[in-house]
Amino acid sequence: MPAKYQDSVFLNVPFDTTYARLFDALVFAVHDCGFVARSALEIDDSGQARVQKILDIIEQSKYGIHDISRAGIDRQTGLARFNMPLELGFFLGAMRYGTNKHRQKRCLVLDRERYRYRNFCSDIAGQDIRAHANNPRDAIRAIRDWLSTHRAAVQMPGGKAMFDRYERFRAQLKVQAKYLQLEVDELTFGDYTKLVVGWLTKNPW
Amino acid sequence: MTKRTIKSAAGESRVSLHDATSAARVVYRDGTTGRFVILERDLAGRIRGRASAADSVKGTFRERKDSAASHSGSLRGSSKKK
Repeated sequence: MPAKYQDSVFLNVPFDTTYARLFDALVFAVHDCGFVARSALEIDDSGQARVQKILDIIEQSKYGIHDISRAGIDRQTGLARFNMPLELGFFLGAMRYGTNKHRQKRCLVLDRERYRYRNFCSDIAGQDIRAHANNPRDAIRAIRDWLSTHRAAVQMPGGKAMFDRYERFRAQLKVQAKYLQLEVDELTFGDYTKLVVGWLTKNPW
Repeated sequence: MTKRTIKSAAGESRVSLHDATSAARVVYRDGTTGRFVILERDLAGRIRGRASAADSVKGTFRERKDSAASHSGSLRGSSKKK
């Protein structure tokens, strides 16, 4: 069953290995808050242009989480990494020019430090911007606090409790994956989210 | 106040939700040591299930072996007779 618009959270984040521990934490937090994590990684279709894939997911998602913490200079190429700000621009454009449904979109911008964006992307001032300090604990707390404002009727555990749940999930992930003949470092986005949802089902709040 | 419902994952995977849930372990933090303790009860149950299934297979082999032995015995018996 496809994810509902009002439950879908588009994750606009870098896909490099150094970001993986933050990405895993974000996916967990989104699902533990009762939403569905959406990413360009969810479809393994090389025939579909990447930008089309991203635009489709933005169209299907009411919420967007945009991490611009890696939007600096790439060490290998010496060039700026523009993908995250570009996709944030798509999302803001959908909010501005889309139909009534898309005007209700909400987005959260994450960065290492709360006001760093002023030095390189100051036009996003006025958006909801939170800092994660490259730390899964702070990232989970930021996601939880932001998403809880969009599920006011739901009694969610606090950021600390949710991070404790994440640590418990990670403690057993290798065993859980092994049981399905999978290796943790080989998990695809689809595999990982399934394991997250499986664990959450077995470990309610 | 209501509690949230867990939504299905969006990504493509051959792992079913049922299998992912079956494979998931209950984990708690030991109050004394602060370490995580993974409860293996479900896994142990599965292993027991597999072991019993393996036993039944072995039993089948044993039965076949027995029947083969009795068969060969009868051949030996017949050769002895010769």
